This record gives sequence, structure tokens and C-alpha cells, in this order.
Amino acid sequence: MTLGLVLLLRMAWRNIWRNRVRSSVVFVSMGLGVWAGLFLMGWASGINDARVQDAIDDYLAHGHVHVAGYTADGTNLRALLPNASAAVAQLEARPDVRGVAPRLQVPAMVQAALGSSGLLLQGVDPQREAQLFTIPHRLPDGAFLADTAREFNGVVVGQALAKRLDLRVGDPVVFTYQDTAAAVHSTLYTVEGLYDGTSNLTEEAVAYVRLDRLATELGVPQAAHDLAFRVDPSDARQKQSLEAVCAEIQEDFPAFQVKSWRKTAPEMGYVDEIMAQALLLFMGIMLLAMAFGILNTMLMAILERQRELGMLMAVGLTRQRVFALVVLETVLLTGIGLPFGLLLGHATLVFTNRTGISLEAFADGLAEFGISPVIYPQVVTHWYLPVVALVFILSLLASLMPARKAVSLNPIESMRAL
Amino acid sequence: MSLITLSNLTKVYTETASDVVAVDSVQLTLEAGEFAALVGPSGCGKTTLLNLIGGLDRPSAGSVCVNGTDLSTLSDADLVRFRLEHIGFVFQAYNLIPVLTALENTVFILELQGVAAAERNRRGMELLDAVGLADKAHHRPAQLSGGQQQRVAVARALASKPAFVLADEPTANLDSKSASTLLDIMLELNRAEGTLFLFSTHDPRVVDRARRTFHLEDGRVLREEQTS
Repeated sequence: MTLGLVLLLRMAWRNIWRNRVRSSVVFVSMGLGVWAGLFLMGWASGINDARVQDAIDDYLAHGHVHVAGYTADGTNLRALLPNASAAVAQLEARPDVRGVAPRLQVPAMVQAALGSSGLLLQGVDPQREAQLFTIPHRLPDGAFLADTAREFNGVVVGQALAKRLDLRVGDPVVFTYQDTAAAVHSTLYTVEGLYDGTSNLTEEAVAYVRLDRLATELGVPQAAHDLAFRVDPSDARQKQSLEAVCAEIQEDFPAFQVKSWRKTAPEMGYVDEIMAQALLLFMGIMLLAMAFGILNTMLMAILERQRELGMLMAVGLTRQRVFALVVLETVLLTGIGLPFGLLLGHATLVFTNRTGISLEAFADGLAEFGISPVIYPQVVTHWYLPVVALVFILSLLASLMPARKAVSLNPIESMRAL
Repeated sequence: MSLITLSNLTKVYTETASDVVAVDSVQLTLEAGEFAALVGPSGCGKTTLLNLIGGLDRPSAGSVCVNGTDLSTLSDADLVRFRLEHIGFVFQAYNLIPVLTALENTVFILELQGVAAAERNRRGMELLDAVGLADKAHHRPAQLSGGQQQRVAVARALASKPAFVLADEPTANLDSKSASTLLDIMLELNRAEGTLFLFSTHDPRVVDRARRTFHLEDGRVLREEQTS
């Protein structure tokens, strides 16, 4: 049997070179298909990773500490960490924590001369916020809550909101919100800065004021709703590592809840997982289309070689061996293009991962979705094995029909006469 | 016991209008080492008879016994194995495997049988030498003339030392000189290897060399001639 297999392999290998042009078309299309599929996966992973990273850098952080009942939209004002500075100090003492930012969050209505809008008013410590997030560093106009004058109520709003309400630095705006005792406050603030968020949605949805000012307004001095924290980048990269760190921190804060960004913003994680499935499905559909091309090529080859196959069966090649011969030919035909596609795809991803791909022309449109204008495709090595498996499974499936056609040939009819 | 015994062998093809009797109650025996020919005009049933003897087709009635084995009792898979082990085939259109060299074509059956590489190559070269093509061992069929291809086909048919070789119009596509050379080679191998050769032919050159001829008409053996 082993000798028979060697013979079949030799015949299959030589058979696929009988029609070089036709086979080359299959190799090239398979290679290009795999290359395109891998690049698309890397590209989509790059977009998603960047989107998540931008969100983490903008507002999300790696993890959060808060009390039970806390909601990120600020609707549960009473879900307060009473002695925030002590919790901050305890959290900062951990070697795996790289920074902590306390926040107070309250739903508010902003009123300006040209209109009004609902948003989340976020009280932050400017220094700590700047340590954790990029927004305090991305102010095309103004400063990030730098004016500490007692009588000055500064607010930093997003550029998109400023554009909609026609706000400029120095303009007065009124924020209306309730405190923890349900008393309504309407407070005059002055626009101190305009921030450039990655997403227009964020720019319209969040405004920043000083933590101590907002705490006083709400009547909750020393308190915070949320402690956002960052961990060591090596821990943050791996899902399991981040969850493990959060679990350890949870042990330090048994009275509070400690959650990673995947739990506080589950939609971000879902997108990650859904996209992985969607991309594999997309790749599968693309390869399936190619499998039909391969099936057609093999059917043509079988029809052209009916006489030869009939002779092979006449002299003693069993139907199982004929079947195996056609399957081997199909797998080889498919397999030759595969390494080229993988190599080309890998090289493209490595190169573009270093250089990035600039989409500055579409920056405004991408910003609507929170996507950076420069995409760094990811080298998705974890996809290579599934892609190889997918190609081989599909090539095996594509070989079944031609192989069945081959074994159903009648030797006499195929040769016309003995 | 005869090598091949045909008993009341009949093959009927069922057509829409009427049945066609391709082989009609043929009775004959063939012994090892014979050089025999089935002779007759086109459509007389030569090829059908050869197909039945070679186990490529099943009879409507009667039987084909080879060395005491009734081929009609074998399953399709067993028939394939039987052909591989016991029968050599030479076809009118050579039917070599285009992607294999002359030597690889010659030893193809041996390789399927699992014979070791050294042994099969020795046997292959011996046969290619016998058919005068040792120097073309590594040529592919497309690089050989028709006569040379048919000589390779003869070498392939004999490689596994089958009980008998069935040759369907082996000289039909050859010029006179090539046909004569091929027949000389087959006669020599018939003597040297003691293998039974059975031809279907209407080529007088084959008939002249055959030591036994069966004249067929309408599927029946009309007469048998024997020369010494």
C-alpha cells in the first residue's frame, strides 16, 4: 500500500503539471485568495485593536473599581466610593498598577446660546487623568482644567459638541444636573478647552470638569463613583493576564467590584469575538468560491483523461486507488498555492504593521466610528493554522465530486474498446 | 487443465429495438505458451470476447475459467485484483501513462503489486532491453514513436509475468515495419517467457504468425486453424 501511495503521489504530482497554464491559474488564484483573506483579517484586527486601544486611551482604561450598583452612565449617583483617596492610594501601591484616576459621573444637560445637549459630566483629577488617558493631551484649543482659581468653573468639551453648539474657549455654558439628594443644580461653567477624541460620539457625549468642584456641587466631598486604572502593558495585552490581575485586585477590595474593560464595556469585547467569527466565515466563503473553481478544473481534467483512467482500471488500479489519485491531485493543486499565499500574506502584514496604512482622506468618516486614520494591520499568526485547515478541508470536499466521477467510469466505455 | 476455458460463452446487449448477440455460445480452450488470434471482420465480436476473457465485462451466459477460477464468481474488486495479478493487456492505442517514463510505465503493474524498487527496475530494464528500448528507458511516451510506445506496452503487459496477455489490435496503428518488429518481439517473448498471447485482429501479418487462429462471425467461432 505504501508503494502504491508513492506511485499515486508521483502520478498526481506529474498530472497537475500536464496543463501548466490551467494549474497555474489555480495556484495563483489560491495564493491570492489566501493572501487577500489573511490581509483582510490582519486589517480588520488592526482596526479593531486600534479602536479598542483608542477607547482604552481615551476613556476606558484597563479596569475599574466601584461599588455594586454603579452604572457607567452616571444614573446611579449614590453608588459612591466614600473615601476615594484611600482606595486610590491602596490601588497605586500595587506593583502591577501603572496609574489610577478617580472620577465622579453625573448625567447633565448643557445649555449654550445656540442649543442644548445631554451628556455625561465627568469630574476628574486633571493630573491623574493626564497620566492615564490621552484626551488631556489632545487639546487643539485651550487647556485641560489647568485654571485652579477658586472662582473659575472650567469645563473641557469635545470638538464635535463645540461645533454643534458653536462653542469656543472662554464661552459660558450652563450645566444642569441633580445631586445625590435629588436637588437640581444649574451651574455656570466656562469652556476651558476643546478636546479631540478619537470618536465623534465620545466628543459629544462626555465633558470634563474638576473632580473637587463637582464633588462639592454634588455634596459628596472625598467621594468618587469610579476608579479607573491601568496595569502593566504586558498584562493588558493578554485577556487572561488582565482578568487575573483584576481578580487579584478584587481580593484587595472585597467590599467593591473590580472589573476589566471587557466587563465594563462588553460591547468592545463582543465586537472582538464576533469579528473573529465573521472573518473566518468570510474567509470560508471566499475559499469555498475558489473550491468550486478547483472542482471545475478537476472535472475537466477527469473528462479529458477518461481513456487513461479507463486503462488504469482495466490493468488493475482499484477504484479506491483511482479515488485516492484524484483526491491527491486536488489537494496538491490546492496546496501549492497555499504556502505562497501564506508567505505573501505574512510579509504584507509584517510590512504594513510597521509602516501603517494611512487613510487620512477618510479621517472624518472613520472618526465617526472611533477609528484612527492610520491603520496598523495585525500579524494574525493565530489565524494561519485555521486557514490551512480550511483550505485542506475545502480542497478535500472539492475533490469528492471529480473523484466519484472518476471511479464511476466504466473501463470498457472509457477506452471505447479493449 | 487448460489455462483458459470458455464454456458456452454468450454476451447479449439489450437494445431498445432488439437484443444484439455479440458473443454466441463460444466454446474454446487455450493452453499456456500459445500464440493465438481471434480473427474476423469488424463487429464480429472479437473485442467483446477479449473483454470477457479479460474480466472487463461479464457474460450473459456461460463461463470463463482461468486456471480453474470461474471469473463470473468473482466480485468487481476481486476481478480488478485478478487482472492485476494474472493478465497483461496491450491496447490498440498503446494507452501508456503519459506522465510516466518508459521504465515507469513498464514497471507500473509491479509497483501496484508492491514489488521492491530494485527488483522491479531490474525486471523493467530486462524487458525494455528485450523490446529494444533500453536506451529510451527514461523517455516519456510523447518522446517515443507509435511503434516504440507499443513495444513499451508489451513490456508492461509482461512485466509481472502474467498467465496470459490479451492484445487488442496491437498492430492496427503501426506501419508495416513497426508492426513486423513488434510481432517478432512478441513471438520471441512468447517463446522466452512461455506466456500465452491472445490477439484480436484482422491484420494478416498477425494471422500469419499466430499458431492458432479462431475465425469469428456474428459472435460465433466458425472455424479454428492451427499451424505448427
